[in-house]
Amino acid sequence: MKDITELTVHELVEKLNNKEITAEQITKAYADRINEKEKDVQAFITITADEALEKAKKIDGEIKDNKNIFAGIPIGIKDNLCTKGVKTTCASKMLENFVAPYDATVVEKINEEKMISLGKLNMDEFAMGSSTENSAMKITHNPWNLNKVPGGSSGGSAAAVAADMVPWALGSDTGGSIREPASFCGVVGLKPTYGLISRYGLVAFASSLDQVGPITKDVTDCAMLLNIIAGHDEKDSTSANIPKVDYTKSLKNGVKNLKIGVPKEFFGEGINPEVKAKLEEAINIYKEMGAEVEECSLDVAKYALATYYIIACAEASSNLGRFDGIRYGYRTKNYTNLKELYRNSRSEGFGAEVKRRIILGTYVLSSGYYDAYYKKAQQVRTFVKREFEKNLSKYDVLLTPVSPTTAFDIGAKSNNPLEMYLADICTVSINIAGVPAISIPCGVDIEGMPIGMQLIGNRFAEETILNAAFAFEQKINFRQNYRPEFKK
Amino acid sequence: MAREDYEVVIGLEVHAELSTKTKIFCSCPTKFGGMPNTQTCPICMAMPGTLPVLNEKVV
Repeated sequence: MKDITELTVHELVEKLNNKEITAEQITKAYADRINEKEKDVQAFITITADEALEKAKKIDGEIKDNKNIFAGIPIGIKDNLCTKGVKTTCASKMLENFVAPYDATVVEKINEEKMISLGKLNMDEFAMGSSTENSAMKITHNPWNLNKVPGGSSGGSAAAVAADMVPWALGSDTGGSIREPASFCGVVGLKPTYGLISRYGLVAFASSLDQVGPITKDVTDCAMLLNIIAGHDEKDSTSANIPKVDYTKSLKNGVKNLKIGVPKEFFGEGINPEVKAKLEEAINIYKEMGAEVEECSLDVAKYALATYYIIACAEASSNLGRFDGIRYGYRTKNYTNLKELYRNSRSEGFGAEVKRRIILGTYVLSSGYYDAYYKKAQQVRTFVKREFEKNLSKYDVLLTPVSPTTAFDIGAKSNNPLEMYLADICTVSINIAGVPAISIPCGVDIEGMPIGMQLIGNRFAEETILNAAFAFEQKINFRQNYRPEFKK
Repeated sequence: MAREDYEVVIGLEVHAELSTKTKIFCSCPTKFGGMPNTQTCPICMAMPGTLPVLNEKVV
């Protein structure tokens, strides 16, 4: 029999509800696994395994009603989602001791299911980065090769799922922060449609782009976690009031006659030949399964990265204005007047990348530059959206790489912000357009590092991309064929 | 500086009391005379992660 921590959540749920295992056994298995692997992977900022075990015992003692099939299932939470009574640091010195007095809506939802949090997961500071190296707390290591980055910004979440330290996790995605680490760590990550999931309690980075989403071992788990967290929330005015869907229902529809567009711009310059080759194999698999695959064009994609960094930084500079050392968070000891208190608290509390983006954002919003940068970026945004709409009226799904390369070495790009930004080139346009996209593993490179495939769908067409991802997953059985080796 | 070197710039900050039962961006009551720290919440405090929801009556 497989170890408990190797099971997917849908396998765990079945065993738990058949009373083959108890919540305590599951939580204990994960606590032991964290004990064993955390020294190598460094995925957690806060571990709550002891509290988790207490909760698990309590849940085992209660008579289960059928309503809570997830009662006793553990989960990991990215450290930018507020959890009442447990620190929410955003991997920043600014919030290193911050304890929110409330739960994020998605955290409330997992608590209602009586799921059990194993702790808070590492990330790039305030979700700004693509490698989790911008964390002020620690560097997370990729479970497939410990010398490589796990991707970012949800690097702790993806690494913990890949290393079987949590059965699934919550992440957030502003420009690729769920999909890129999922791709680098060989797991499944979904950036849902903007508005599908409440952002209440997600510490804001760029509000018009941020979205919470699942990081899981397989597509079925992804659909199940989406079922739990999706839905309208009156506390988030941008959350959509649409009918509830059971995302697990449509998984077995197959891909016969599914129309797949392959935007050629995503396969051009800068893409690693091994990544390209694996995606071409994936395209052939879809063709064999009966999908209609066609090359298409998303010409605006080349403007998306510049547009993204203008909009995201502008919104960040506004969102991070609240961290002034007065009401919460880090306060400098070094001040003689109010202005110094503000300035020194921010100078000492924020890391280099966060400061870089606040400065960039303040610059593009300043009078004299607003029209040239921010206004222009908003116009290009509309243009990008229209191009996506045009393509997605013709195709059910668009297929692209998640990142031009596989996971890179720790330290390789940390001194070159521009090169780091290029890691997001295939993912940012999706956030700009507000559409959903999933990252699933489609093979490994010559070093054994996972390669990710991105499937993009129309607004609120999560069912379509989950179904397409599921069909592919069944065909290649990535998890059965490849496992992380913790190479040193 | 001589008087003529100054340029007059006048800004008006208008404080209008809302005639609503709750605050403009959250559901905390606006009742006068309560105990300190009883009519406040994470949204009023601009706690990280909170989002304002505009009071319909104000619009």
